[in-house]
Amino acid sequence: MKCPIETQENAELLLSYSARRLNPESTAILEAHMELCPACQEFRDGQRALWEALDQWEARPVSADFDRRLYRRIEEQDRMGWWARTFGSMRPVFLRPALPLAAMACLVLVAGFIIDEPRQTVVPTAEVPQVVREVEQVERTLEDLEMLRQFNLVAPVSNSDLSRS
Amino acid sequence: MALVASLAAQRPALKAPRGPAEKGMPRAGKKDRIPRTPVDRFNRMPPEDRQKALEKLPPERRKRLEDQLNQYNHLTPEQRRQERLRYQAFNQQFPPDKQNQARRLFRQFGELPAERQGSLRKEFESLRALPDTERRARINSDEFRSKYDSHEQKILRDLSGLVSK
Repeated sequence: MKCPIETQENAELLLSYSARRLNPESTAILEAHMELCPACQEFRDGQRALWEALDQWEARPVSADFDRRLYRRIEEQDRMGWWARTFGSMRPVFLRPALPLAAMACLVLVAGFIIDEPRQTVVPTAEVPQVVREVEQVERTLEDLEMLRQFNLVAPVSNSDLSRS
Repeated sequence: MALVASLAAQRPALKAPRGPAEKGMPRAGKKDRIPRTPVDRFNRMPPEDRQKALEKLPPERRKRLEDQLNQYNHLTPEQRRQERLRYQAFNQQFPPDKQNQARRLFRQFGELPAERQGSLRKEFESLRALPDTERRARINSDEFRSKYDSHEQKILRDLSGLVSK
């Protein structure tokens, strides 16, 4: 397969893979590519760390009177003027619970930028993608040959048919 | 003298294959040459480059690739020519999306138990030989449905759909 980071064609594959939303076949193909591609490995490891952090993160238990206090605060907000409503949410007390989420959102954004600007952030050695491409091409050709050996998918051809096209 | 005379008499006979008779022989001209596959190109790489490329693979994958290469390299020249012909025909007769579909189906086929693979292969061959209407009739027949489970039916239906005119 073409390197998603190098070609930018399948960048969403990496994000779907990291989010465990990729189908098993594409997962297998991408994992085979990752075994050979340091740039994709680096991206995967970063994403894995992020998702593990997300998995481990637990919201603090909500207090018994949370709903009551929330509705009271909403009512207070409604009574406030537009100025207070607009800038009131910037008060530090409101920011505190959102901090872990904001930090994770930033990490996701950074991951997105890595995909958008791979040449500036992830620079694998020049020869590796070429070797990776060659090996993957050989593997795929051998798989194709095996498939064609087992299933006669093609119409009979002669050399002259091939040279005409 | 007799020896010189006999040698002189033999000379034209030795040169004969290079004469006009050879020009008339059907030789594989440039335009009839079958393009080499990525496997052939890999085989023509210097051994140290091949080694370097293989070293990038994890051991299990490397072993599988080496085995497949070994199998390919032990084919007779005529068998290899046939493989190249089939491979080129596959690339020419199938657009990339159909190629990927075929590969996907072949992977699904590969996950079936060996004894099921054998009967699916046979069924595919007979489906392939049938005209479209008969093939559809066969796929919709009770016998077909009782012989193969829904997953196998889908593989056969999709595979034969790939080769239908």
